[in-house]
Amino acid sequence: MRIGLESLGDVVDPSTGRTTPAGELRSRILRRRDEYLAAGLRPGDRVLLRHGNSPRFLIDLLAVWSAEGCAAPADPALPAPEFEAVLKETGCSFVSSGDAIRFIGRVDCGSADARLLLLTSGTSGRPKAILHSFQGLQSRFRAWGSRIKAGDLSETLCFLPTHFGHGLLANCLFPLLQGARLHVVPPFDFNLLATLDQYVDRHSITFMSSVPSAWNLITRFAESPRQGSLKRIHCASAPFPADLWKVVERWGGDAAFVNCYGLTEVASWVASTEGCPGARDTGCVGRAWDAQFEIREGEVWVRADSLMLGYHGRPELTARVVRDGWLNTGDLGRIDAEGRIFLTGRTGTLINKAGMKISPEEVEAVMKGHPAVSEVCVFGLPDPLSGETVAAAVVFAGSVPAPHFEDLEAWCRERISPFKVPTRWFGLDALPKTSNGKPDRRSLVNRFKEEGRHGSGT
Amino acid sequence: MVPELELERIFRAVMNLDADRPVEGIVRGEFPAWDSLRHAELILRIQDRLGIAFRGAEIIRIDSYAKLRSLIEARMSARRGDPGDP
Repeated sequence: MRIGLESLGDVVDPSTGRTTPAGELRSRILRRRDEYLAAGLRPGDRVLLRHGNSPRFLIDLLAVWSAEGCAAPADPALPAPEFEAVLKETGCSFVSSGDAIRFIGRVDCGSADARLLLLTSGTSGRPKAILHSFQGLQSRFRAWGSRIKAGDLSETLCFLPTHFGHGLLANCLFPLLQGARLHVVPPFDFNLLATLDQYVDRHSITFMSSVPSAWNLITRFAESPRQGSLKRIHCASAPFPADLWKVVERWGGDAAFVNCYGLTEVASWVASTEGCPGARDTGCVGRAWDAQFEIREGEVWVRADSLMLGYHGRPELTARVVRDGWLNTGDLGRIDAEGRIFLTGRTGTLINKAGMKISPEEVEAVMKGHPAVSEVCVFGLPDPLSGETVAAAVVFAGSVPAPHFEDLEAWCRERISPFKVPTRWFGLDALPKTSNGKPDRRSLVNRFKEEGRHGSGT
Repeated sequence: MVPELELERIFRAVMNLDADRPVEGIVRGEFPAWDSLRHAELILRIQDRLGIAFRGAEIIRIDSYAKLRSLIEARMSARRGDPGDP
């Protein structure tokens, strides 16, 4: 199955003000495809795309697809150690930064149908590499296309990261392949968010989607757009506070505001509040969107044609979360008599910072490599901006001088994605433990959620 | 607390700076910890603690501690009605 480029729209690069029209976009995609073929790309080969949020990135990704390869977008801000780990985890044979194509060795991945690999945090500390087929992605695009009018998407703005399912699939590729003019900007650029009304009005933006923390910022700092161009605004990836709902609706004017629920494992949005009564009720994520939902022992399971092929290299994990075509979402919830889905919590320890999932175990594994750190426990604390932020409670080894938290933070930045680096720090003489001897995250959350940015806790 | 001292306290807390680290020369593009989320948090905390509302265009221009301090001083002077201030 091939991706069709016939209905592509234009792409706008706000940093240069230049629009790449669809015809030129197609030519550049095909030229880039030929570069991949000349570099030795074979069907099924995986390409790590180490850039994002630009017309060049979209050309690169669509070129890989045109060459029947599998695109693996990665966070461009990954420091070298994490990048190397991601490379190993994804089975990529090529790396592209947008210009040069580097062949790093052929890897037989065994998933000939995989065309997209998206990374997400895993609870064991290893990232999970989610594989999707064209068939699965197309089924999700068709589902969205059956409910969202093409006209609503005509001028789409994306300021979400393109290595993230919500940003790439729902806010970039879906509109672009429907013929939208897509404006793609650096992710979470606060300067843009604080003046978003000006961009929306200047370019008559009709559609955009984001996460609750970004909507919180936008409605606090940006004026409401005045031209009335917005037709539809979406939100997803994190719980949406009921008190923010009215604020966003007021900001968006006549635009329809829709809260969506989705997972990378099912190619993003599989439920929405559109046309759903009581949508503002706490925890409500609406009704199924071309998917089926079930509750099993309090946990939310979903079935959809857009279900992933599996996690690369993790058949046992795949078998644990997918049973007979049903995916365990990792969310707790209920479904009422009207089919409305309510989320009530998470089963695991993942931190949800501004819609991005962060594994505490992954951060701990890195921090344990610091010579001054004897023990560490990473946990999420409530944050008024990002929903949750990353906190770390550290027990220093007595054998070396304890660093300042500022220096520890800088050390982490050299090793993991900036987004995962703790922003709140606590020095302890000992970590509280559960009855089975593991660090007690829950008690640390309860202890520190009211405290300041860092403290001794002693 | 004197606004300048409060500003420095807020800045150090948001940027996770140690007490002995000078703040005056810190520039946003050169200081990795000063990312978009922290910039937003900084603005919000200053608004809440010092009662200063920033306009969108001002938020974009704040790219160093020195500029932030000057902006706050100008706002405080205007509030006090000091002669010759904006």
